[in-house]
Amino acid sequence: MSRHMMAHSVLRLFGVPLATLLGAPIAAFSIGAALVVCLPISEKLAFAIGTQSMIPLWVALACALPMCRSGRRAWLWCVLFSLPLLVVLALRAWL
Amino acid sequence: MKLSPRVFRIQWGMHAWVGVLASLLGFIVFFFGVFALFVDDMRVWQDPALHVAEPSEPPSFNRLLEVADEVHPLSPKSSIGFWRQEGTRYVVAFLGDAKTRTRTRLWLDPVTGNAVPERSRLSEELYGMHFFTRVPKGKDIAGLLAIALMVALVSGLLVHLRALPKQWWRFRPRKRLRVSYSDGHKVLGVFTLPFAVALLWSGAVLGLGSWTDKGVSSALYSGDPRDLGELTGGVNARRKPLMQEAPALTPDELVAKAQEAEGWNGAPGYVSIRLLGDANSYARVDLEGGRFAGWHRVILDSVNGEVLASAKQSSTPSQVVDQVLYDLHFGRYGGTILEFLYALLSLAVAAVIITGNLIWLERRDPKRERAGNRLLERFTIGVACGAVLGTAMSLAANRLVPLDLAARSGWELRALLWGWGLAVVFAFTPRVAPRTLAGALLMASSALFGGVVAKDVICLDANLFTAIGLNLPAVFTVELLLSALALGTGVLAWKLLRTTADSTKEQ
Repeated sequence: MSRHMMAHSVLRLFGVPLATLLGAPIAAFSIGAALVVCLPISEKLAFAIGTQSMIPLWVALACALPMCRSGRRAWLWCVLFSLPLLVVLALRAWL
Repeated sequence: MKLSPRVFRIQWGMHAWVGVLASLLGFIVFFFGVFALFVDDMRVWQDPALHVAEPSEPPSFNRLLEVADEVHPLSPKSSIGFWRQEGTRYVVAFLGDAKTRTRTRLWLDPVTGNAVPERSRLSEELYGMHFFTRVPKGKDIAGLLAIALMVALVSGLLVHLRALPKQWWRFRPRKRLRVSYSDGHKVLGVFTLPFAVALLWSGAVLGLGSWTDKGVSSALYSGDPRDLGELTGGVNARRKPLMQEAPALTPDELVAKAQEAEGWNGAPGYVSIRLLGDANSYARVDLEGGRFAGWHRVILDSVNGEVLASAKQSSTPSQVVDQVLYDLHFGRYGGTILEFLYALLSLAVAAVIITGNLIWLERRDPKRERAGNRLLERFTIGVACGAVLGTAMSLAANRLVPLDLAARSGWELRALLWGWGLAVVFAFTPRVAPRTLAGALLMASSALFGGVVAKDVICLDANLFTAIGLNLPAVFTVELLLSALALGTGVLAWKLLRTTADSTKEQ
């Protein structure tokens, strides 16, 4: 088996489970943290909503991500969910 | 709602795999959760010397300070704390000597001045097992486990949602094992669903909350602990000694000042004074807050009574949510009856977890032809029944090991771990049916639970039949719990042994 094919098989085998195990908590954390920054309410209330939403989001993503047809798609969803936080952090650093 | 075959297959696989991987740790968490519910009662029950009824009036902390000073004089700038216990006249005193740098924990009687050293840590050990305190990062592991069990719960719900109304009440114990296990799993799973969701969610927040808070703080607030403290709402204050002597207010005066500052007349549950005798001495007073309200904590200057920090000043939505989840998790909002209901539901969730493993085995390998499945079956029996037996042995050790033995509390933990370990080894006994082994382990546990209750009836003034009359509800609660466990494990053991005997006869 060529190295390329082997890498492909490994990605197929571990892509979705890995995204579920690692990507789900990262994406859930990112959405929660983005809520802390973006919600137009007091900082303390936004902090409570953002941090408390992380665990239900983590569970929801861990149940939903395995339904992706490939690891690449699963990771793409994770990146998409993490995007708001990344944008916020980039804007903060830039401004 | 009908799932597509692909989604059904994925969710089914996830429910089975996550369930089986998290099952044994999940069982441990829910089984020891029963003892976590009764930790306060057990703290009184575990030492017969503490079986003295609580007075109607809260203790005078001035008197406690006098008693502590007589029993264990402290050098200047030391710290002292008093933790009132419901169900006993005794109060726990934490003494930290600044000169010798030693910490002592004593039980003090404010009426007689009697001091009892801590002779048992059984309640703390059983409580700690609920979130693996003896394992490094145990609380974080328990939090991750709650997430895994929630994933198993949600995927199980999705898989069974369509057939749920039909399966809700259906239990067929006389059908073959796979069917009866499956029925039991579903019926108990449906009835415990709201409880399991509430407990797993709150458990995950309690276990992983510090990580999420710190993560947000690091990502958004450069990890400054002051910013985090303002957002989470902790009531904290630390001071260094001024190295000048100054007369301090009495503990009772400090309690009155705290009640006045907080605008709350709750009874003081914990009072501590740090840097005794120093001009910078400060005190912490925790006032009981009622249902879902936590403690009203106030930190004051011990010399002039000035409030340095208080729950009223620093309350945040995050703290309010955490407090609600804490009380929800430990059933601290409905009294003893609710705690017993929680205990029953916890045991039902533990049964759902174990029947899940048995369904896995019956579906995939009913004749246990594969070594891995035989191992899983024996290991499940060893760990689950071993946890019950180990607990029963630690309770028996608590009553049998002499009270004046040095490092006595170590024997209770040893009994728990040895009992558990031996049960795991026993579960691998060759040529004996696994059900017989489970029955034997549970029968031994039942005998020990019942033996402890019987010994207390014979040897102690406060026991199952007299504790209520002596105004010792904590002792009665624990005796009742142990009686229920003796009965429950006994009936289960009898059923297991009888069905094994019946199937042997049929063969």
